[in-house]
Amino acid sequence: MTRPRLYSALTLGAMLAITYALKRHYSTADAEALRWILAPTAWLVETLVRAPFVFEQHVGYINQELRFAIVPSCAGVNFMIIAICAAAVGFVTHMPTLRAKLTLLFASVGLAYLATLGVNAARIVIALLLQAHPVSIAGLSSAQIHHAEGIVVYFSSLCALYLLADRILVRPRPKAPT
Amino acid sequence: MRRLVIPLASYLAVTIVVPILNGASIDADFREHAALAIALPLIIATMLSLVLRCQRFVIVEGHVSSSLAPW
Repeated sequence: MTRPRLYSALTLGAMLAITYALKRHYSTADAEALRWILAPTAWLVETLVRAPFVFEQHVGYINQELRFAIVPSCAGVNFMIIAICAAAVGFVTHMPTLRAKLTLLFASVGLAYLATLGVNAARIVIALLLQAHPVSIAGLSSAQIHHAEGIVVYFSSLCALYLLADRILVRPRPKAPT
Repeated sequence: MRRLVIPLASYLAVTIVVPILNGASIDADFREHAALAIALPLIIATMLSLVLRCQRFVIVEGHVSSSLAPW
């Protein structure tokens, strides 16, 4: 195995360890343990919809008036894991050195966290809008529409972020001739 | 589509393959989740690929004025 391939394999091994730890934490964590991601998400949603969300032990962030709760199952941790995996797998071979590969991995973790906060807050705001203005799509129930909305928002955002990273890291636009 | 294979594969792996490997029961709820989680990303990826292909066509071939392109 050549040295760059070995370094890529090491980086992907580190990615697997990080995402496994994250998934394991998420599968057992309650609302209190997930405050590192629920609290900033709730704050962003509060800012966007101008309605307060109150933390309730073992439940999450609740707004009684809107009849909406930001609970552990919609914390967005799976999206964060997917974003880390896509960034590491997609771009690790384009990084020339071990240092660059590890920088990519740790930057992916930080940026995936920030992206998750933004995308999840947008998803929740859209869900609140759909709750306030129910729509009927192909006979789907409101729960199915909520589920589908989550998939569309998360996957579209993932693709947009991936293509943006691809443009920055792999295919920068050629400079216009002067 | 090739450029979106990695996000698509990552998405399907985490939302469908990992729960199956973890022993999730493949009941009606899971099948419904899987159907949506496969169909919607495939539709989105196909649409995005078409947009990217059109964009490349406009930029590389110059067949259409850039002022007509909606991106």
